[in-house]
Amino acid sequence: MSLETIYDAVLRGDANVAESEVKAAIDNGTAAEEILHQACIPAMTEVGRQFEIGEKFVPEMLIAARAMQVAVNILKPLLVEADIKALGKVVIGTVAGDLHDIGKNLVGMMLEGAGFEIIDLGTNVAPEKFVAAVQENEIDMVGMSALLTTTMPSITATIEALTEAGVRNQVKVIIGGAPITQDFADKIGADGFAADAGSAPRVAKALLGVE
Amino acid sequence: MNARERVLAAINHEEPDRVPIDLGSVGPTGIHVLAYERLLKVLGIEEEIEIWDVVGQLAKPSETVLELVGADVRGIRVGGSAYKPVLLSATELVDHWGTVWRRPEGGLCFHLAEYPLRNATQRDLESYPWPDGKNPDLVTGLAERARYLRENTPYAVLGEFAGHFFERAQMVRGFDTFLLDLAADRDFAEELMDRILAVEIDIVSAFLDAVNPYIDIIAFKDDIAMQSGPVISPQMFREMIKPRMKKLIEAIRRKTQAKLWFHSCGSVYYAIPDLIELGVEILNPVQVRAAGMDTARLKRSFGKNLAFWGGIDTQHVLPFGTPEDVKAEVRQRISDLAPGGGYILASVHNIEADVSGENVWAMYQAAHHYGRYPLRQS
Repeated sequence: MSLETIYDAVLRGDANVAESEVKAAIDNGTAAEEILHQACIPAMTEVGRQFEIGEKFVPEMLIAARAMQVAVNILKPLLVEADIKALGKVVIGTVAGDLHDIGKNLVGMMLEGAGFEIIDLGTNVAPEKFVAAVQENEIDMVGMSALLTTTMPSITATIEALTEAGVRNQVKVIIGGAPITQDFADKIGADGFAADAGSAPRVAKALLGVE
Repeated sequence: MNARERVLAAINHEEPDRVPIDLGSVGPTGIHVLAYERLLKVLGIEEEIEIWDVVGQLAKPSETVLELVGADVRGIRVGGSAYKPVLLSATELVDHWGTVWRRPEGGLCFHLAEYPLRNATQRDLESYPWPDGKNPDLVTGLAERARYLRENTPYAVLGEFAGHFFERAQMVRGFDTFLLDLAADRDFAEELMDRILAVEIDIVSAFLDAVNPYIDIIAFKDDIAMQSGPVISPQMFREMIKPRMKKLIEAIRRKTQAKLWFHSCGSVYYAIPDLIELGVEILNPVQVRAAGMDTARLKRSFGKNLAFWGGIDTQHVLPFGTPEDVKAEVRQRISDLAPGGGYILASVHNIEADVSGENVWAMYQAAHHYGRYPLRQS
């Protein structure tokens, strides 16, 4: 049992080893926060880095995220008990008219793996649903995805709805999806753009000024 | 030089009289019904529009329109009544593999929604009701149609089937579930792909028995890349996908010597040497805004062995550009891809619902203007 073994298990995507090693670490008296911050999150950060440089691909990212999820499920009650806060709360969704979700799901997994709390609104999410989620929760960031050029206007409409509801300034807005570019993000007044799930946590952390 | 000679010259890396053009001979060069309506307006044509592909809401371009744009290829797609999606309601349909597609309210096309093998175990694969690739309805009327096109029209004839065992595995299992299978349960992933491949081989064999003497091009598809790069590692592609593509292509080659046309969206640069080795002769759609898909580099690296079919950007220029931008795009792609032949001009995948009629028309006007051989120096 060691933090290194947990780190390796998450990086390799071995959910069984991750599970048994996390349990063993807790039994041994290691703090949940320490397991999360010194093994699990660094492992997912490394997954993201390897994804960005083309050493890992979607299957390896998914299997690592699954191992991470197993570990987090064990740690969660302990983190709540110890009042350990997430890096920030992010609401994500695929915008109105669009049902594509794999990219959005990968971004959600990687943000969670970086220590954010995620509220996933799913696909075909109307602007007012994003607004309601921001109003009802203490949201730090809104993440929107679109795969189609024809649904890119829904991103713009959602930003306008956030502004109209008077909550735009409470949150950062980050966007992504196949046809999305930094140019488009700048033009419509989004705060950030991530080209893929590997870079999303880095962009999110920079925008919120958290580490 | 007629249309067929023009297309075949280009595929054979010779310069024809002008760059050949395709509109809608095959699924990924189609046009959404709303964009088609706008094109008709620009052309001043009134006609009843037939929906050719329900999922993508693609119009079937009429012969009048195809002649006006100078389209050089006509297509035949296997499937017939046996593979028609069954509409469950106005917004929901199920395809012949059991996958449910939905159209969101006000949505422009159908999207994948429910995956029949999402929770399947390997044992479930045995009892799953796979489509019957030997169903004679799949090819009803196709031989006659192919023969008619070949004997009575000047056009190149393209035969289209799906072939996509990798993509289909994701469509019946769920994208994330299947991609996870590849890393977590390789046996399952391989059996699923093998079962799909067996059906596709039956289908293409029956298809080619029907249409072979009459087709010039045989087209199949499988998305092996995404915007930013490969979906799976090149190594995994070579271990798990390539050998199965080889089997599929061997089955094709047992029946026809028609030119081999392959479609994958995204950043496929990494796989092109493998595709060429497998015998692929034509690459579609040349998604120019995906990573590494610079057309000048593609031509330089692979232009001797591979013809390019597509290339006119649909992720930015066609929906958001002006007609002048569209013309500049056409000029650029022709200048990069067409020297020495080897280029058939079409949009990168379907012309979607957000493209103006003026832009669509500008694409074909520019194709005729800049596409005449000898090409102007740019």
